[in-house]
Amino acid sequence: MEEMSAEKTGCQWGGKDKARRFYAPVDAIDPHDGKLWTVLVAESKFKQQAGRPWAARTLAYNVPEVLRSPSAIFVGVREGEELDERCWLAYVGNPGHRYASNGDAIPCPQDRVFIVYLTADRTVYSWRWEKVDADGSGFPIGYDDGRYRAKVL
Amino acid sequence: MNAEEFAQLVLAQSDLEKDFAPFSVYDHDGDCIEFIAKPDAYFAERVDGIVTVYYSEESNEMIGAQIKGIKSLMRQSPGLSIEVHDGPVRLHFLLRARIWREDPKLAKISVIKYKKLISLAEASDAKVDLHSLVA
Repeated sequence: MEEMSAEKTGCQWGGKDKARRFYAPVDAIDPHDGKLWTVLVAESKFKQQAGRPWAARTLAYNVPEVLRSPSAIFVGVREGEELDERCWLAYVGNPGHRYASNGDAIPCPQDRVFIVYLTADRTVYSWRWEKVDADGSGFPIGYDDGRYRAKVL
Repeated sequence: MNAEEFAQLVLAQSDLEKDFAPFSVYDHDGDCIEFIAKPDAYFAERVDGIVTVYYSEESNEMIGAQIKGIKSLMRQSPGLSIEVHDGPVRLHFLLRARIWREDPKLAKISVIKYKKLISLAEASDAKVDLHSLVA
């Protein structure tokens, strides 16, 4: 896995602050300097968690936790097939707990890692638990197999 | 907005008491479809650069998926726009359009997982509104 500084990615993610109508701003680590910048989450995502207490609490607690305390940030989540996502971001981390289907907080299995995906304009569009790679890195399966372009933090 | 303020906003707007209903929705930001057939907590497994499937933490059965690159799929399968104009598109149509582009002899994609996902989408009668992509 290639490691590079955020400056050398060729990506322009904009200034520290972001705001857009119908989107909620939330703090995240800026891979340039390790300080905070703002990322956005569509408010329409909140209602999609209806009837799933675990999903609502995952968005409410796990997502901001990993955005603020990632173990790694990768850039370039998908390329080819007419797609240009070379500047999209993946924040990877290990929250203190996950949520069971009934919404109860439970310990995280050691073989899982949480990922939050952002577009190049720093909009969160996806988040999920995945199994970790068998290489002991603590990163998701396939992280070093062309899945991401580079590690920037 | 700090993490606690964000959490309160999310929980205030997520109706936790509402009965779950399966859904599939197009996300303009990520150019992807989120399909959830059951309310269980899940973990994700990336099938390829386009499809990620969700497995129940309780039963280990497939209960949903994320399908990416919808704009690209529409460009590569222009006939899909006919379905889109008529209203919400059955999700299994989109998945079949994706799989039919591949040569099964080359096995670039996991045909078995695609077939399971197609079955799940059919059984759930999953439909998604893509009208904004052809308007």
